[in-house]
Amino acid sequence: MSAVFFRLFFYWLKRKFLLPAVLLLAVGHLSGQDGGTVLLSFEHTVDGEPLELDQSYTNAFQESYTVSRFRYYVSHITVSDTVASRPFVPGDAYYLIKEGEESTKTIAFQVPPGNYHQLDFLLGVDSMKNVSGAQAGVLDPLHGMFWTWKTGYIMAMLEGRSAASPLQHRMFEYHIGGFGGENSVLQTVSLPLPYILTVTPGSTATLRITADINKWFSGRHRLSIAANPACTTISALAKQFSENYLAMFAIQNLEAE
Amino acid sequence: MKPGVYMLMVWLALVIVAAQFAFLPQAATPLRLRIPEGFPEPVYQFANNPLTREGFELGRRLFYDGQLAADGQTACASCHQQFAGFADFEHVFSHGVSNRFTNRNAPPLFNLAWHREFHADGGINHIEWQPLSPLTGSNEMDNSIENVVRSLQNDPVYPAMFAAAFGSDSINSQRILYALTQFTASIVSADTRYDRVSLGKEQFTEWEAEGYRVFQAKCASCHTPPLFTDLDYHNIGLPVDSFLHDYGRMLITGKKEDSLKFKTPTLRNITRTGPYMHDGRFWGLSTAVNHWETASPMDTTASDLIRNGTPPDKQEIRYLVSFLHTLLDDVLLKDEGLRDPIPGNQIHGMLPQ
Repeated sequence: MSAVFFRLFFYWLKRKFLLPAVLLLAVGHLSGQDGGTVLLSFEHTVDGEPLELDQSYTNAFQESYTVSRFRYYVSHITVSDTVASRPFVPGDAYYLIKEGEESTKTIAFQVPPGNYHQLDFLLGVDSMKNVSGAQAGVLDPLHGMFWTWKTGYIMAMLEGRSAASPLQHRMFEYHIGGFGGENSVLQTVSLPLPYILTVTPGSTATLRITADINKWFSGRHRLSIAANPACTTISALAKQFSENYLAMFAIQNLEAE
Repeated sequence: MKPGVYMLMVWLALVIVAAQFAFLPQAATPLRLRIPEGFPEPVYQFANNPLTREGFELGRRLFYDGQLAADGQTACASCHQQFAGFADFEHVFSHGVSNRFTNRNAPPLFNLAWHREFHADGGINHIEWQPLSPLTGSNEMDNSIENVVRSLQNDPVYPAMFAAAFGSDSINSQRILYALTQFTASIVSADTRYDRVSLGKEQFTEWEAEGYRVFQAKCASCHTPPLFTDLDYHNIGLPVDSFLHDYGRMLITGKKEDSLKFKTPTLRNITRTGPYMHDGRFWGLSTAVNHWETASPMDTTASDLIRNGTPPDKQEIRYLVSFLHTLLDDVLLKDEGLRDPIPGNQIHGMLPQ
């Protein structure tokens, strides 16, 4: 009888004190005195102008177009210290950035004190998560970023309309995915910081990152809406779009407090 | 400290402990996947989705529930019927909502924990993802995840079942898929006459034994026991259907050499799963066994076994069919634990039990 009580008591102790204490320590370690906060603020633009959904813009092919949907995954964020030999990985979170939903466009994480000079992130969902079965949160397939006939996440999505499109409703639709093989679209975006970011205990820094929609069409490969109004399969074309969106991202400035 | 105060503290501690115990959520009852004698290690290990009685029962109910479809009446079980080895009995193509048809013959569902990939083209890389395809397919259940989640949240039964299975009543696609997987991955076929013969409990008749001999010589390299499939993809020379234009595995890999390859179907319960082939083109076992007959001589990409192998002769086909009848799993087909658990359930495609 007493053994049962002791076991229950220890279970209770574990639940009530030990776990919370460990959690508190862990959180304190990350967010408390010894680290600083870095905010990534994603802004979507067209040639320097802020992107507004369903507003008309013109790309490098003089094709006018509107955007109705722009979404992409960001994961595997790393920040590199000028001296530390290993980049710092602030957790293993996945983020789904959605134009039109402001709360999705800011990512906050904690980093230890140091002098950082580079930010890297994976544009998309790594291959492991593409082969590991049902996921939740931003990886829940209800976000419409998942193929059900050929398993895999859509890493980036751009949809809209353009008079240049030969498709019905003059629509264009790009669902860029593919996590393995020669047509993998998994790209790591590497952004050198405009100056050394010094993180001190309790400091906060905001990195304004822009993504220029026009680069989607002509960042590296020239892919006009007229010639390529749709890309919804794993293909060499999808790979080209993925190399274009690599060129979309830039750090505009860095505000440190 | 005074002894009285000390005792008071002990009692307080005991009361707190007791209270904690009373409000602990009842942990779900663990189950173990049955791994029949002679079967390999299963691919699916329930690693992130521990198999429990409550999770299995939730998955079982979901499997039989028409709420999962846009029309409220088409369940997984509408096209995956237990008496047909969880295939669609005597249907070339299955009926989705609004009189739509699937483009492939519904596969039977058992021993799925041993499969790496799903669909005749292997497009689905994980058993947990599999149900999303019929759930959201416009020619199948034509629903959205949002709808399914909302409808289950508003159901009088499900929130408590999710709580019992997963510790809280929150419902999302991951939990729905986990539960469905607990049910489908637990369906095991290993109680056929063939299995009893293998275990030395019964003996083949002369014809069955002859059929088994032919089977081992001409079929077993792809329909490998004990699963009776090598889980791989082969082109057996069937001409492409001029309406469906279904090129199978190539649709997934994009590789020319995968043109017209389809996943080897299991032969277990084959007497209940006809019509045969990925598009249900063959009625009758002897026709299906004799698939060499229709193989296109022009197709140089068909597997070597088809182009250069010796087709079974007429008598061998009769023997083979006799052997194939020993692969019927009566225990599975009548397992009450896999039956429709919803009293008075009205879904499409069910025969009264």
